[in-house]
Amino acid sequence: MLRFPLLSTLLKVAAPAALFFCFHAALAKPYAFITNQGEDSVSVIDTAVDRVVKTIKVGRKPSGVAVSGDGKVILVTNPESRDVTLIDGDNLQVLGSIPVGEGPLGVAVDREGRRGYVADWYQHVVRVIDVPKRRVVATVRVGKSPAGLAVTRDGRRVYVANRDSDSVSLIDAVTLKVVASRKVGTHPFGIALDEKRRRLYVANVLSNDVSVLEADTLKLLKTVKVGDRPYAIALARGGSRVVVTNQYEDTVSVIDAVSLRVIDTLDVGEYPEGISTHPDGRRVYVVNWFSNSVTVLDIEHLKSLTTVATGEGSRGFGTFIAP
Amino acid sequence: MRRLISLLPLLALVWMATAAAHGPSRQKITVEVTIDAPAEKVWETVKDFCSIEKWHPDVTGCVHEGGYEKGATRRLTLANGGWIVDELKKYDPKKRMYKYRIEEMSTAKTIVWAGREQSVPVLPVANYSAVIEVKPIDDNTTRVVWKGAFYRAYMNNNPPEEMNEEAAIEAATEFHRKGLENLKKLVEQSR
Repeated sequence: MLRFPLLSTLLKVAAPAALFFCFHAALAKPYAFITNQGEDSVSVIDTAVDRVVKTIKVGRKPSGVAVSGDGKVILVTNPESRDVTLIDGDNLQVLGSIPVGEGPLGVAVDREGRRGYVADWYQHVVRVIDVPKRRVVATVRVGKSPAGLAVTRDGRRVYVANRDSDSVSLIDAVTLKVVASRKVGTHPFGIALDEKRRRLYVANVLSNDVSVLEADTLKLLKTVKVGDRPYAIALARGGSRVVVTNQYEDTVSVIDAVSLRVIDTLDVGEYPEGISTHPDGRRVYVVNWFSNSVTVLDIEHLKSLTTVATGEGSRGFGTFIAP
Repeated sequence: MRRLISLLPLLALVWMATAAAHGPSRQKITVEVTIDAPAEKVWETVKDFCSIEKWHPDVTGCVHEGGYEKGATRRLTLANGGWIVDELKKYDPKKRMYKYRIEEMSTAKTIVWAGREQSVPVLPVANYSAVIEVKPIDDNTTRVVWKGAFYRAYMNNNPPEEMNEEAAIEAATEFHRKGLENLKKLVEQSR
C-alpha cells in the first residue's frame, strides 16, 4: 500500500464512496413482502418501481410477516403448516422453516434479525425464535389468542395484543416475563409502537376504535373512533400520522398524532388488512385481501398513488417493509 | 413415575403429529351473472335491501329495519324455516352496490363434536360479510357480482365436516348462485 500512495488514497476515498453508494442503493428500493394466504406464497414488491419482482413459495396459508431493520431477515408465519419460513432478504431465497406450535399468526423480529417472536393463536403464548440457530428457544405465556406484536428498537421489550382477552401485554425480552398488561377495546389485533412519542397504538376489531396507550406504563391516553373493523396500523411521517386499515369499509383512517383525531379517510382495495410504511415515511402500503392487491398511498398528500397486483388472498399482517 | 414423566414429551409429540391441526383462514367467493338488461333496470330490482325476498328462491320473507344508513338491518326468513339477520355496512346507489354482514342466524342442527354440543348455523359460516354490485357492461348488458368473505363455522382446530371450509364455501356459493340465477330470469322475463 505504501508503495502506491495514489492507489492508497484512491482506495481510502473509493471505499467509503462505494459503501455510501451501496447504502443508498439499498435504501432506494426496500422490498415489501406480501403474504398470499390463498396460494402459499409471498409476493416481493420492489418499492422503487412498485412492481412484483419475485414470488416465493412458503409454507401453508401464510399470514404474518416481519422484516428485520436491515431488510436481511424475513419471517413468515404459516398457520396451516404450523411453522415459520425464513427468507434471505438479499437474494430472496428461502433459507428454511422452523416448527412453531399450533397456531402461528402474528410475528415480529428485532432490528438485527437475531430474535423473532411468534404469537400462537391457539396456545396463548409468544414463542421466541433464535433466528441464527433456527429454533424456538423460549415460550412466554400471554393473554388469549395473541395476534399483533411489536419489538422496541433496542430489542428489550415486546408488545402483544391478546385478541380474546381484550388486552395488551408488555414482555421484558431479557427476563422473558410479562411485566405489564392492560385492558383495551374489544378484540385488539394489530398494533404499532411509536418510540419517539412513547406510545402504543392498538386496533380494536370489534369496538371499531384505536386505543392509544402510554408505552411504558400501558396507561390509556385516548380512544379514537375509526372505521368499520379496524385491523392493522402503520405510523407515517415519523409517527405524526397513524394509518389504520378498516376491513369492512375498504378504507384507511388517517389519525393526526397531535390532536388524536381522524383527519381523513382514504379509499383502498377490498378488505384491507396488513399495512406498512416505506422508510421515506410518506408512502404507505396497504394490502387488500379480497382484491389481491396492494394500494400505495401518499400519506403526505392524502391520496392514492398506485395499485400493485399481488397473489391470491394477500394479507401481509406485520411489518412487511424494513423499517 | 420418573419413567412415565420422561415419556410425556414424546407423547405430546405424537399427539401433535396426529392432531393435524388446521387453523381457520378466511375464505372468499365471487359469484357473477350476466344479465341482458340495462344496469338501471337491474339496479331497480335489487336496490331495496329487502328485495332479496323477491328475487332469491330460498328467501321467503324479509323485514327491513332502519333506512339505508350503516347499521340498518333486514331479517330474512328462509324456505327451510331458518332465519338470518343482516346488517347494512355500506350503501352506494351511485356505484350501484351495497355491503352487509350477517349479524345472527338460526341453528340448522346441533351436533356433538370434540365432546361438546355444536350449533351448526343455517348458513355454515362465521363472520360472513358480502357485497352485491351491479356493473354495466354495455347499454343492454349488466354484470351482477355478489362476493362473500367468511370463515368456516367452526373456529377451533379440527372442524367437523358440517362446519369445515368446504361446507362453508359450498353453502355460501350455492346461496349466491341460486339468487343470481333467479334474478337473471326475473329481469330478463320482465322486458
